[in-house]
Amino acid sequence: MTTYTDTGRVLIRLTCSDGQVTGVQVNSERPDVSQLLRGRTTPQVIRMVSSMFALCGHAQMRAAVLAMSAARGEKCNPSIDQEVRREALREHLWHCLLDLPQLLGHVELKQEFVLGAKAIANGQRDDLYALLSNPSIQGLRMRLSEFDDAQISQKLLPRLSAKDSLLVWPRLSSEFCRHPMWKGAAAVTGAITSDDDSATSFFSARWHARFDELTKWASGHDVAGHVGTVSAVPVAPGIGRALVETARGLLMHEVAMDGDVVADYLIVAPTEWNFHPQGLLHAQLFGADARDRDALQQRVSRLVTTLDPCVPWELEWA
Amino acid sequence: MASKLRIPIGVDTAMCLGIPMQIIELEGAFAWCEGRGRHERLSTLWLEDVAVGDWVYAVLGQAREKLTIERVIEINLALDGLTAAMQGETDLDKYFPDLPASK
Repeated sequence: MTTYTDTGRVLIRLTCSDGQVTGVQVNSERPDVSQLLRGRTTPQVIRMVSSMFALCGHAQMRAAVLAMSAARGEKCNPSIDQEVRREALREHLWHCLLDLPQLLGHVELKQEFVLGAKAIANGQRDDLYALLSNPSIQGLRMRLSEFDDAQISQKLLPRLSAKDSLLVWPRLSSEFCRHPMWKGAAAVTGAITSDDDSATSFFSARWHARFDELTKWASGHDVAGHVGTVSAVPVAPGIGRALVETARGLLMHEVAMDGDVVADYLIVAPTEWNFHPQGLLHAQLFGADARDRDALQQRVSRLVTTLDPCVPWELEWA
Repeated sequence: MASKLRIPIGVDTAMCLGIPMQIIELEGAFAWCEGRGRHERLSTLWLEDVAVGDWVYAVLGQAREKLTIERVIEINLALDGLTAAMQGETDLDKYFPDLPASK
């Protein structure tokens, strides 16, 4: 007999007064998977991770395997994992051809998605390149400047290797997993983060970056640093950390082993970066015009879809 | 103080964690599915062909992958273990039945 499982949500609570947003609370509620992994052996952790994560499943698996290997002293220099990359690119394709058209009031490009997803799964780069040159897709990109209402005011998390990450975060903690910080502030992770943070529109920069990731793969660019990059490093004896660049941004696993058994397991998911209580949503919505509630709700929807949480989200008016 | 209004946006039972669901009715590029106490309409665009009775891995309102019944049992056990852990259960060995026990 299976039971209902609460799989989490992002809750955004807006307080409005005198026609303005005067309070923005962002809370990411996700089940703590790591409590199930403590006290388990490596094969048990691998089985559990492979059974639970449907989104970014390859990325989560790779992070788990690499982190546990690093705990045994094996490092992994940054490299592209093609399976993780293809998984992320299919996510990008879904967002670009099904979610983005909805935001722009455009018809969903379902047939193009089916063809593109098949091309990515089968490694047919030329087919994807031809598809991305399709006038309907190019037309979508042309319309991205229509919503330049979200200027980038947030720190952008650079793409880091596991070794680099040790300089910034010598050890991870449960608090960091819930509210990760980059140089003392909330930061956005995912597409756009590898470039400078002076671009004017978050909306178009984010969506163009997703298209660019697709085009880079279709063009044969396989340099580490793109989505799909994995790396791992021993943190201390018995402790390993892995970093994986997923569709939504940086995923980190850090595991402490006690012999063959997991003593502690920490996961920092991209959603915790992108939906930080003091993150981009707070910066964009605090003080916003709230006289037209429908328009404000559309703006919230646009921001959230562009950031792309890995859990459902809810808007609450307080 | 103004009354609270909570608005679920998009699909109502999505998650980065997947759940197995069984297709009970097809509706164009969608399928009505049931599993783990949920009843959802999932997009089937990720899958080449699906039929009533198929088990799928559901996430964010999408049927991502077809599952064998063995895999369904395995995933459900993992999710049962997660639910138990979230509810404070400490003896979780039964959720890892066919693997060497932890210490």
